[in-house]
Amino acid sequence: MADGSTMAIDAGTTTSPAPRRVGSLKKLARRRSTTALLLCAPLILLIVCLKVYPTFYAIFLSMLDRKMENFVGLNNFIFLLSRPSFQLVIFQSCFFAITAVVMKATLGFILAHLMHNIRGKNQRIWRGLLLVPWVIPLSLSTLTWWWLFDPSYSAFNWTLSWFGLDSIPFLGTTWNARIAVIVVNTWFGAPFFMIMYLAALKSVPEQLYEAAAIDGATAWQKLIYITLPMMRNIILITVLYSLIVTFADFDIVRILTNGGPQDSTHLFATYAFNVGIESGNIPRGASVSLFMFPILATLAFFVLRDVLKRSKEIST
Amino acid sequence: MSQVSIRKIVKAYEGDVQAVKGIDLEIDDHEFVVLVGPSGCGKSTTLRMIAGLEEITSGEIWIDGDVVNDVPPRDRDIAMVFQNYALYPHMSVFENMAFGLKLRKLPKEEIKRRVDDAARMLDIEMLLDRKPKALSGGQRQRVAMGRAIVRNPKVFLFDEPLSNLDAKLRVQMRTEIKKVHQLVPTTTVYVTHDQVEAMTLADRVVVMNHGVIEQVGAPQELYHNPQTRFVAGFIGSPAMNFMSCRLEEAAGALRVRLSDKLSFPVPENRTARYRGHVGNSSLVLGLRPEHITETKPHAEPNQHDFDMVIDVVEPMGMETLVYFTIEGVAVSGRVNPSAGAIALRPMKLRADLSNMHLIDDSTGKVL
Amino acid sequence: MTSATASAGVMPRKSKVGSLERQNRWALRGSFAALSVFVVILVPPSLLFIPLFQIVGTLGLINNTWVLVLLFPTLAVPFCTWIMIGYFSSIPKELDEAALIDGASYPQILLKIFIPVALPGIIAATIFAFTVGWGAFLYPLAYLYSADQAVLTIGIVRELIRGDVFAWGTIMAACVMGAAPPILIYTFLMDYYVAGLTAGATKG
Repeated sequence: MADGSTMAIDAGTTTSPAPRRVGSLKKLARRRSTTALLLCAPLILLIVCLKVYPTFYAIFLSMLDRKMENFVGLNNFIFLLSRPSFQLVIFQSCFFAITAVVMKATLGFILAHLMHNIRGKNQRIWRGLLLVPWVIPLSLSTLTWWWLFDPSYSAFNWTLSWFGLDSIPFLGTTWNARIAVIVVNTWFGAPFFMIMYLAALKSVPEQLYEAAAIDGATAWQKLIYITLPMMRNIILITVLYSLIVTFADFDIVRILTNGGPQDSTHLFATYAFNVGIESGNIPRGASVSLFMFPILATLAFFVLRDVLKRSKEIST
Repeated sequence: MSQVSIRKIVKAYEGDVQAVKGIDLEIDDHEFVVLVGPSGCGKSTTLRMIAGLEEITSGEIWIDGDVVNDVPPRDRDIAMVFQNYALYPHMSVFENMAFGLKLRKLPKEEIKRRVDDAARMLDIEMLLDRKPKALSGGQRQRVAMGRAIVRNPKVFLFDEPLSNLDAKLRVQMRTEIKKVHQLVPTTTVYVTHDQVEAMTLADRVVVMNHGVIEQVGAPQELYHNPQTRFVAGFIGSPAMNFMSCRLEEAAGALRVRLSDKLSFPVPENRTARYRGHVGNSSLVLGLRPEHITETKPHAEPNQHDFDMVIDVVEPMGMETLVYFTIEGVAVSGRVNPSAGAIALRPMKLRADLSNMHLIDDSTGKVL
Repeated sequence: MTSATASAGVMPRKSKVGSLERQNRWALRGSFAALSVFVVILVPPSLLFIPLFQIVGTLGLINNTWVLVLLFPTLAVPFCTWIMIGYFSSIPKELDEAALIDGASYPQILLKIFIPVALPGIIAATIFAFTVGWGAFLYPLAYLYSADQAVLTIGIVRELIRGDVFAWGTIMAACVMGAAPPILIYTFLMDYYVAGLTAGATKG
């Protein structure tokens, strides 16, 4: 408020308001969503061509016979369900997805807590380092894990033998291989959980903990009564999202075990690849992968509900 | 420079919820009008309709002689200051202020001149290169105002601009806004829930409640002659006391009875006005705290002493607030700090009935 | 490692996907119809690769690197969408209102306000899209079979493992080379990445 004169702004040129365009606000609102739709169009086109159409095509394919000439209805599905090797795939997929996600979530939660207690610049560095597994292409890191697990050159087995212990066939027996696959998936996915939970932790107001401390809560009680309820939403959404991704996982199993030993670690995706592309029975491969659909659709429904809720927040 | 005219505007949301129920308001050129009311009273919605950010369900808004109902915000030639300032975080202060001018394709030198002028006026010249993130709350507020000023619009709109500031800064910025308006007397509509802000800034205050205008008037007018119980209670701090009462007539004189033991004679000049309400069972006496004081040695017309046990004493420095109870209702008074008010002790107080308000609680109107 | 060039060619495409994304997000503000798109997005590639194999075959694009350029956008879309939704929801609506009053049109608001403000999110989405494209395994494995078309990931697995002979030294060297670009990018843009990833987390 330096000079006391009214000279300030309106002295010089006159502002000519932009030529007034007559158009109702409604039209304006409509123009807004038209703009939005237009911007979306390429994406929608892409999705229709590469997602919607193939999905229906998959359903069509799954109802053909091996030569893709005759229509066989649901025979492929019925056949698959009657095969013990496929029953094993269903079991293994569920077991893998659920165990891996629980491990990732737990590990991510613990890591996030540890990180949360590191203050200042160090936290940033640790966070960066811990996120690395998630950034390396999964197929390459899996390859490295494979090397670590290798029976003869394995770093693990080498260490074991150094202590005078027998080497372990990490990928050679059913359960060892299953656990190995889950370990690698956890190693790859936990950083994502960690980073999300860390952000959520940071958003919990400090006063809540202080209030709880004054009310006499122990560290454990703070975790149960404050941290978990406050993080409920983010835990839910990350777990759901991760379940979808983990269910559909391909890379790890393909590289690490390629379904072996004796098809005991196959997931839907790898089995479908095996049957559909490698053995050339495309219809049956399609039906294998379609078994994922109901499971994923259920999970997607819940994710979508969250997204809807969130975009409602945006539009209000 | 221009007038704003609001004619019977209604804002209805889905499900027949009416946020604004048909209000009329004429705002003169250069006038500073403040819309005030509790949250949810429709004041912000009204402002946003003037801005063109909300559609008008029915009625008309005129700016400078034109109906603007269908004119998009950019063509209404208005500027707005938001509660959270809404500064563009990726632009420097200069760019923030210049953005609207750039979009209007003003020449570069002109933009620079205007921004510099506004920056000088608001004392933010040294901040022009900074990003909003690097500014304090008060500085952001100034930049937001600067962004409005440089546009030299027909109307300034303020949406609770001081709510995010701490108490001390709020008072300071209040003065600042008033100064700016004296320098650049643009027609201004200002929304706030803070009646002190409304009183101090406004040429005219518009008190809104439940989507309707309760009363429009100059600050002093609203303070001394509220027309409804709502306005009487909303304007003034601490708030006016409301005590249910009865009117009694004896020998041509009226008395207002608060309890079995306590009654005051009604000032003679009001007798005629109130006579018709004798026997009305829903009367409320309104008396501001400053009209209940400690007793004084000499008598004054229409001032009457009474004894009360004080519940709570709040020393404020230049005055002391005392609270006591009449028929279960807490009543406050303002006494001299040296009057010796002590909690839980009786005290002789004096009520100044010449400033009384009698309210019919069934209609909410001040009689 | 000729394959590296092939996969590098995918990168610009990836960033374009990132940009498509944010447009989609803006649309979400206006039209709920776009949400139905999201369901479809969640269908994973491991469900689609068989029908796509047929389609790609029909188009005669098997063993052609361009098929990946065509298909990769579908890989990163769900997650990029998530990132961008989180990011856009963190922009207060007063910001577009202020721009509207300042006289900006919708395209101007998008270009001059939204995109710059959401830049960290866009960068995060782009990094993610790049990482996904770079590390993709299933699609290249399924649709490319000759060495001169293979991308890095497949190249390593296929070319360096012949029968039971594992050239571990070479494999690991290739892995390090393959992992280097994402890690490098990530090192420089880590803060954007984390900010973008977690913008939605605190809202959720």
